[in-house]
Amino acid sequence: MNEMLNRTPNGMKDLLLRECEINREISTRLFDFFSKRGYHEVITPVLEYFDLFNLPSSDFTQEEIYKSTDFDNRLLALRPDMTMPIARLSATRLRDERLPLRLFYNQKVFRLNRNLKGHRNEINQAGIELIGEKGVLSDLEIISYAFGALQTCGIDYFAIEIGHAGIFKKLAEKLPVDKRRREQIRKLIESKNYSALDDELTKIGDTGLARDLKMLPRLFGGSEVFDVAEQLYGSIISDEITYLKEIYSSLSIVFGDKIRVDLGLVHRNNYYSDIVFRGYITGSGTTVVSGGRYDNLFDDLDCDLPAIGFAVDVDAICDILLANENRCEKSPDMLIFAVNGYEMKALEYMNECIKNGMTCEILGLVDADSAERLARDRGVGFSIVGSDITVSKAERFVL
Amino acid sequence: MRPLRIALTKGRLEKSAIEIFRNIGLDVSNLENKGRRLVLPMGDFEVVLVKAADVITYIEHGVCDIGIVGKDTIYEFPGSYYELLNLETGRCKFALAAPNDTDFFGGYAEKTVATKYPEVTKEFFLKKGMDVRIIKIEGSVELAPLLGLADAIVDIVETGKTLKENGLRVIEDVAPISARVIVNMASLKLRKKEIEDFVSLMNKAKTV
Repeated sequence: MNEMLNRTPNGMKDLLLRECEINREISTRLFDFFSKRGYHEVITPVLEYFDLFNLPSSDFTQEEIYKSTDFDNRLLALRPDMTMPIARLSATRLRDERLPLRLFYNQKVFRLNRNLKGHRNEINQAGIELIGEKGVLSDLEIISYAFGALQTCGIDYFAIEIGHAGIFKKLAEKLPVDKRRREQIRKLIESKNYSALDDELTKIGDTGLARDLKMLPRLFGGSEVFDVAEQLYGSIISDEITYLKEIYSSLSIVFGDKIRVDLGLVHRNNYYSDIVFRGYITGSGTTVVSGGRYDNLFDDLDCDLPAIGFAVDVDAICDILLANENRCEKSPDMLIFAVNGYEMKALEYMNECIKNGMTCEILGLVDADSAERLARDRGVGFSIVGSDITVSKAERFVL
Repeated sequence: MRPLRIALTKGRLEKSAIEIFRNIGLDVSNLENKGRRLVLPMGDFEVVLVKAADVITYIEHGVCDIGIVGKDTIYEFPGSYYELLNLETGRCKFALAAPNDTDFFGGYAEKTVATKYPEVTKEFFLKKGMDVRIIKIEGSVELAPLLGLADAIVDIVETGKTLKENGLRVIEDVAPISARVIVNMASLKLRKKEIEDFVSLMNKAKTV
């Protein structure tokens, strides 16, 4: 046999049984949660033109995008992200709709990760985008829904942190460095590389902003970081700090210490313009929620629309829920065996049982004895359908 | 909640890290007499001793929270994690070295570079704007130029003694190396205080 038939491509996987059920369950709950709040589901194509992910405000590298070409030899991409396709949709086909748009999606995204590192290259993402509205209320709405989305999936131990894309942008503007070094500094702040950031900034000078910027990645935790930031950076980012404080205190009334701050949160996606946030779940090493406001993204699509949204990593949530339960196979309530020639009767009988609220499975075994044994082994009900009687036996074996 | 788990690079960095743990006042007896055990309790922590590149893998996936690993490995295996502290031990450097009597940067012919660290080498020449052929070698890289396979090597240089004995010399430093403390991103956010306290203790106890 061709050995390729034995396996799935790198980073891809089959979802089986319980895994599949949980995945479906989460999708249903999220759909329910968001549709009750006025969000409408959209489904976009898996393939898009590569150009969509290569816009100035997007920040995907060539290497992480699966590519193909169409008949006209144009470059296609397997979407690595859902925000760009939804922005495209909103800027084109939904252009004349009444604003704001409230859109929900639950789709797969694809990213080519380094080989053999155990990362998934196919990720199930669910998320929402609120397009055409800005202000405190819409930011609070979206971040509250991020909490709600995790809670509705049955996740209790998690934290969501907020930051602001304007903080680094404004501070970095004041640094006497070129674009390339500014990006270098951004990366060091993003990766909280304290020592390398210290070295890099010391090269610029050991006074004023260059010195104070060293503290930025360290400013995460609770409300205490606002005071430190105000002392350090004062007027340069006072608008951003004031805004974050307001959002933080509103959210903490409802969500307590599940809401955190990280002023050093600098998303790599250039399209984030204002508030940004991320969510982490105890037991999962990855970022499970990621989102923010992206008022500039639509500039690239010749459109002027404010927008905010987030995505939830459905696979990561499934992993947590699966790890927390021991059940692996779900049994039906009843196994049904059909005597030769009574197949259609058996199927009819099964429909009756299903109408009465049972789950059933029809057995294709050769003899009634082994069918009965199987039912006993699995500890579920058993029926034989045949000859003059519809049901000769309906016993429930419980081990 | 499970104890904080530390992934420690086996070998060169192991000793100095244990020294730092001892300075903090932790009971390192399990680390010194590890026998065949793989997960070693140390006070309120758990320590696993693994190969350098695996430290990064375990940290990225969040099955370990805090990792101690050389900057050489970080350069070679970039990923998503926080790099909180330079422990300043295990100091050495990446360097470009070529045979004594040759002019590596001279001439127009394409140059061949042998290395165990293709990522580091690629990055270095990319920054220089130089197009070179990189060949990955698993064992003693110094051999490649001696046999005529490569014009130069990029490798870790500690004393430079091996280079000297094989008629090679450093022509340019690529990057300094020392031990670093890396942390899983979700762990730092969810267990901030524990991790920050431990990292700051390590910072105070590091033996420079």
